[in-house]
Amino acid sequence: MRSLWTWLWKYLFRAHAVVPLTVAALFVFVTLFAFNEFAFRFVAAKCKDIAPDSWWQPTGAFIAVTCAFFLGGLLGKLPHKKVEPGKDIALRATQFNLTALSLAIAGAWWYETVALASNGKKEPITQYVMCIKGAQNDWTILVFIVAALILGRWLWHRPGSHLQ
Amino acid sequence: MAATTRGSVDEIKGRRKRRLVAIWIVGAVFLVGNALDLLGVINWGPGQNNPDSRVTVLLSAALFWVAVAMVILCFRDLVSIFKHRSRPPTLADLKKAQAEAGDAADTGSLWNEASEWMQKHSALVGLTGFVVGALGGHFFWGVGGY
Repeated sequence: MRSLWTWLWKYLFRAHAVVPLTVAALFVFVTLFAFNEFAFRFVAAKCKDIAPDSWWQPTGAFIAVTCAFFLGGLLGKLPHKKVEPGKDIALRATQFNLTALSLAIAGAWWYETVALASNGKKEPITQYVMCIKGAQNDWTILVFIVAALILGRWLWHRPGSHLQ
Repeated sequence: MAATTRGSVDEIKGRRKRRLVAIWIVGAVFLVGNALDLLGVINWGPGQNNPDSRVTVLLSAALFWVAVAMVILCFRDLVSIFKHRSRPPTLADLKKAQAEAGDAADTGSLWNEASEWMQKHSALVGLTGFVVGALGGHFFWGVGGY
């Protein structure tokens, strides 16, 4: 058991894999609970009406998300461990997760397109997002802020990359 | 990563060439998929022929094909990483290997320069995508009653 923990620490945690692994675990956790709560009994027609946005709501959200992106960029300046030959498990895990994420996004776009083309028989994902925004505005913006933080960290991870 | 551990300049060129072929293939997948959508060969549903929703459906389908292209490229890179035990070499890797081998650089094409600029300014590209997506989503994307 101790050797397994040492192995994990050496090849995963020290290789900066802990953040994507935590996000992936959180994603699985939330998906399971959301499926249990909403699958087959979510009625989009009963969503709370959203009042028209005032000028500062989308602008404030936009500024907050953009600032999170820049903050992620600052975090991306932290020293990045290089992959050594023969110790490439973090590289493989990262690419595997990136492939899985791409597959999930492709599946989401497939459903979105089918729903948009169904003439109202199915509700598109964007409809669900707006429903959630209507019920939980603050949590929705928080999710987007965290996503922007991770994205900024990822896109700016290389030393010497500057926004110009 | 140094050329001594990644392999010779020829190997790097070979890997980059094979990846370029894969990029052309995913580009073809995107174009063919969209063409089939436009011609109605692929039927997403009744809304595809409804004048009110046709543009939205086709745009969504186009993004689906972009996502499919990304899946294919990611899977190809995954196989490459398992096979070579290193990430696909970049243009910077090739330039470095050529400099170490004393070869004359032959990477001055417009595409390579554009690729290098995109790699160097990936954050700016990402931020531009976010701004365009946010503005486009806010002003033009309407679903259901919203």
